[in-house]
Amino acid sequence: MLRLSKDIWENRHALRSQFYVNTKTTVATTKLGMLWWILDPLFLMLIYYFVVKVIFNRGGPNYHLFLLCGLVTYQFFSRSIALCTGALVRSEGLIKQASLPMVIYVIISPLVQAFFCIIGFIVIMIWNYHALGLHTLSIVVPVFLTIMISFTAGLFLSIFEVYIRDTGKLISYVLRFGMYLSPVLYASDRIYDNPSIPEYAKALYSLNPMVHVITAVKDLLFHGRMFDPVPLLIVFAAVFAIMQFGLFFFRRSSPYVPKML
Amino acid sequence: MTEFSNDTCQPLSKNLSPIVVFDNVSLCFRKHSSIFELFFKNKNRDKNFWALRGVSFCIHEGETLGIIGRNGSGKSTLSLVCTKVYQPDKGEIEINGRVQLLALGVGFQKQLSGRENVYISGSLLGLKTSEIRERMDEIEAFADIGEFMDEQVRTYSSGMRSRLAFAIATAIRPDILILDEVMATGDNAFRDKAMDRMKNLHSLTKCAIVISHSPAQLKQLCNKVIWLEKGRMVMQGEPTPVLDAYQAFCKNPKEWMEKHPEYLHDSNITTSNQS
Repeated sequence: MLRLSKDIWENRHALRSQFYVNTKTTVATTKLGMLWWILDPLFLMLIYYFVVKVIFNRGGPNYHLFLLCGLVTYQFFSRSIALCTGALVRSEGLIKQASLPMVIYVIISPLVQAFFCIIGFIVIMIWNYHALGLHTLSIVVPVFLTIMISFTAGLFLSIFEVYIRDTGKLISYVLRFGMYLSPVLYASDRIYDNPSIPEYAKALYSLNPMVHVITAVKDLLFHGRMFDPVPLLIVFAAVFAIMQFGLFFFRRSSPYVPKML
Repeated sequence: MTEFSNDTCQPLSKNLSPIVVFDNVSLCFRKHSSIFELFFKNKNRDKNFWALRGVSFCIHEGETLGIIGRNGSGKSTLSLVCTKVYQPDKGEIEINGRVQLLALGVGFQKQLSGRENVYISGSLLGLKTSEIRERMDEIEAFADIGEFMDEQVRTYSSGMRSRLAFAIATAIRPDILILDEVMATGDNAFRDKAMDRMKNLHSLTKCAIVISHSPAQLKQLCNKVIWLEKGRMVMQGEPTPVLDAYQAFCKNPKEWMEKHPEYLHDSNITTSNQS
């Protein structure tokens, strides 16, 4: 962890330039430019709103905002994981030419996606300004946790992808399925309060860290109340512990990576 | 001409410390790899492809080492071992100083302007933002692309892109500079300008390694040359004899090998006419 902090600090200029590249190049050649950063989550919301509210006639009041909270958060998570998985394979040229620690290539994607997520959250805050309050400031907690979760997963997945190129393909399906196992389209209470779902299934469901992160975001930005800190503290402790193992695994594996690229 | 031997590590001048030391370095690529190799030893070492085999040399302060060899001889692999991108499977390396492989267009983004790319590429090559800002005028002057500096790189000609990339790459000041075929691009005027720049840059670094297919270029830049073939070192020594031997070999490898059977044992040189 200390070494990670040292690597980030020593390479902060390269990290900043890569952050700039990753945010700017997404819209550099488009006519609408940076407006796409806002339009992107809104279009996604429209699609799901049409499916759930119009076709299936489900969802409660202000469902579009409820949906947007979940979609922006899950999109942040899923894109971070997908990009982290391919981070080393995609950066082959840079790995061989620039002498940056490889962990930098993995951490950049969650940071860039966090930036897009924060823009999405600002849109929600403006739209649902009734929910604003001092508690809104704690939105940094779920954002930070999502960066941690995706970076930790990326430490393993980016190495697996180098050796087994099917990893990225498989992960895209897992992430798509994971969206329905997370409270994006529905509230997590629907699972916990449903008597027909067995207790072990509910316990398994609660192992998904994004259940707690998305619930916290919805509490803050949709319901306008503080989230329950206990589940997030447990997620933080678990992810922190796994990250230590992930960093060890990554450091052990990364010297072999250039030969495999 | 000095034939390769493990204990050959003589500086050109006395009292110069070695900056780069390769001691019997070998490096292999796995033909079939598995993630389990990260945890268990590779039992199929014989099935590996050895890109470098028993390479030993020394570079002292003030020296410029040239590396020549045919395609696939291990020149670029050797440069990546120097930059510690590849870890050797056998042998030891000692690098005393900051190494930089002078690569053109590192991290270039064609959708962004030349100026933005200077910051991006410079930061990836280890420069701080303030250092890039300080050297911007120098980079602009060398690249000599005028108003195109603020245009997207995708609108550049390949010559303009090379000039900008070369200007950025040579703005760094490492202790050990590695040049891997960087002067193969651009027109003659650019090559002359690049050659002058290289000579200036060389005076600012402790030592340099130049990888090239051009014996003339190596004779001009280097004071020591090694010749690689199939991952093994055939000869090392002063540029003229080594490069003359290499050129004679390239004209007719089979005939050269028949005349110099002493090299067959160590180098396992193929006798094809590939060049």
